[in-house]
Amino acid sequence: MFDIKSSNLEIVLFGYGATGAKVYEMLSVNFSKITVVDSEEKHIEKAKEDGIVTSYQIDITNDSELEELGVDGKILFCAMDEMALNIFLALSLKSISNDSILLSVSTSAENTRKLKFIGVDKVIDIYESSANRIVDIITRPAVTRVMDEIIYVDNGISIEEIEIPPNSFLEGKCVHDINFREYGLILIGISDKELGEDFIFVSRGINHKFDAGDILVVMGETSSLEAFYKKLMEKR
Amino acid sequence: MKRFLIRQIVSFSYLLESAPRYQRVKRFFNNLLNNDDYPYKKYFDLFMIVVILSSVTILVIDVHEHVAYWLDFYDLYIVTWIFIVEYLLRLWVHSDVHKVVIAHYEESEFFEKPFSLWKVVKQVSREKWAYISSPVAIIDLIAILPSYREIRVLRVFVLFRAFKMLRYSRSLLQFFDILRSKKVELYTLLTLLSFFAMIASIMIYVFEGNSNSEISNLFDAVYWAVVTITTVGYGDITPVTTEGRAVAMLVILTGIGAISFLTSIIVSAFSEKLPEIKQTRVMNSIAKKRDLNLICGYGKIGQLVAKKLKDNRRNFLVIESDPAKVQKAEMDGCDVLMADATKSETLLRLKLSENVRSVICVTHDDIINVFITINARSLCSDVEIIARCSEHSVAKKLRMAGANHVIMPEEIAGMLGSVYIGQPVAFEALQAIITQKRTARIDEVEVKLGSFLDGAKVGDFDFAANKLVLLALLKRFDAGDKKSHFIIFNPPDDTPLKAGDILVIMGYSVSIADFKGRLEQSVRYKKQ
Repeated sequence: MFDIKSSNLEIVLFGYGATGAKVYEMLSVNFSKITVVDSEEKHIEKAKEDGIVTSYQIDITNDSELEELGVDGKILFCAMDEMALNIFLALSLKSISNDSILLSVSTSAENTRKLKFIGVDKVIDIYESSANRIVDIITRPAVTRVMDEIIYVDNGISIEEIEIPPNSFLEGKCVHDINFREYGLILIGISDKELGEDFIFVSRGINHKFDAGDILVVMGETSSLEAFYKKLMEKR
Repeated sequence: MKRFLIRQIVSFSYLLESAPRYQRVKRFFNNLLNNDDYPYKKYFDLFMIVVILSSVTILVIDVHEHVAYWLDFYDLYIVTWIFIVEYLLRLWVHSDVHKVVIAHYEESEFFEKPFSLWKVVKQVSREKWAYISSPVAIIDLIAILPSYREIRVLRVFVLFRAFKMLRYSRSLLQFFDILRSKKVELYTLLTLLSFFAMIASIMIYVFEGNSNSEISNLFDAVYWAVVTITTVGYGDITPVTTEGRAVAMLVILTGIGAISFLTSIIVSAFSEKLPEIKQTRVMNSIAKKRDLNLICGYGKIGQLVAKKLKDNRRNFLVIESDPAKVQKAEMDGCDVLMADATKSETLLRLKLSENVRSVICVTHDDIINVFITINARSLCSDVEIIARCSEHSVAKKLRMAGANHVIMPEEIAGMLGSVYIGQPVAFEALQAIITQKRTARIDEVEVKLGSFLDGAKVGDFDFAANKLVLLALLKRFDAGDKKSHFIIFNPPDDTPLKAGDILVIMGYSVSIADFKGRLEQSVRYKKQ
């Protein structure tokens, strides 16, 4: 949310059946530029009914029609109800698009494996994530409640990732030098571009040195996050 | 005189009815002898089995050698007395005599008719006779008889002491139950076999009664026929005439057919009863478990939940009505009950309010999930119910029906996608700690009474130095309620900690384990 990018993100959602409609509902909370595409007429009719202007009916098995949509540099979310179609679509999109982020839903471990093999950036197993949630409710109720408050409930507490801009006050400092609690924040971890995409949890205890371009994952109240973000953006 | 007797009997009956001690003693013996759920019954059963085995052993040894005097004494008096006492106790607890007396007395008072002692005696003896004439009771009675050593033939009845063991072993009883289910077939076959055996024995007697030296009377012929028809064929008696041999061939062929028929009857009885036996076994193993999680429906989510709960070493039971899915669950090594979870009976059988911690409704049908939720909530108000559905309208109904958590798979997928698109790094980090795939994880630690955190402040413990991150603190709304908490995110250093608070901490599993261990230890020190 502190990234200008996110409000400009263009998302193409493939499928507006049982799964797709729900996915749209969730996506529309955070994003505004969503295009809905489906090959079935009645799904698109429903999308129009739901007030989605940017919904189109195309033959998703046809590559040229997909290309016409303009899929480059966009976020592509495959949420077709039929899994075989979904996998085929993911494969088509992977082959024709450049510089785009590809997401897909999956309904089984087997499909997840296939989708990952195709090169889908993020596979979300519908049933696995539900099962995880159920098991978490039973085995770690307190953790689940806390995570719910952070992720799902809109109560001012959230987890955000903030990229360190050049020449900020953090530059050259180490994790132990900064007391995030003073800002009312908890630092969860850092993703360091120099060290590759690996995510470093603070709980590992490494005294990491902040550089511009590092991504901080912090948790806290929105006001604290905003204050911190503002301070970070001030040039030294 | 008679009226005096009646008055005495009636007042004595009322005395028994109002004596709590008498009732208690009777209930105790009834539980001990007849109630399979009574915890001490199995010790009693075990004791009886040992007694029987020792008695049988002594009697068998006694056939050839003389046993020590004290063993003989033990067998003759102690064992016999135990049996007699048990027999009388069973007879006693079988029905209540005083209740019959009271019922008749009150009835006669009500209709102002004379109280008939004869009717009472008739009804009491009818009830008691129902017990005495039951097969198990007859076995019990016969098992007492071998003690009369004077009659040698009675020694055979020592076997009945072995039979008596059936009573104490549930699996053996089950075997007879299975055979009983094929009673008609077995009777038919038995009649057929005895008919053939009779024909064959008469034929062989007629053909060879004179010419065969081995067959001197009809009993020999019957013996030969039975030995042959059962395909045992000792060969001590063999037909010598052509006619006799022809009869033998026929008998052998019939025998083979009949025996294979018998085998198939028993096998099919077993395979028919197998699911039932399995269910009983599952119920027995489940009955002992506490904090049970019921997974209703073994579809995609059900399977995953079962697998994950197993990994977490939680007790769970799958309830499924589709035989194919039941089989799948069995193959996956789950305890599974083939039943309909929308029926109250099913949940009551599992002792919902005592043993069950949560009910997870994850059938593929929303309506069934709603039904299960209503069913479970109506039977127990504090069980945790987690239900799955795919429509918002159903979600509302589920909450009204009493579900604590509603899971909408598609919505969760959408949510995850949305979080991922917005914040891929944070998402991966969260995913890693939520799914515990990496060593970093979030866990919850309860502040135990008397541990070093009890009464301390958040700032007193240096979480950072211990490589832990305190994310949030859950405090109880009121001390009595275990479930309601409010959350303080990133609690300030001066927040007081009390027993019952829950810390949500992030760290590597080793750090968390270490922290938990220290907390446990501090409790012990304080106690000393």
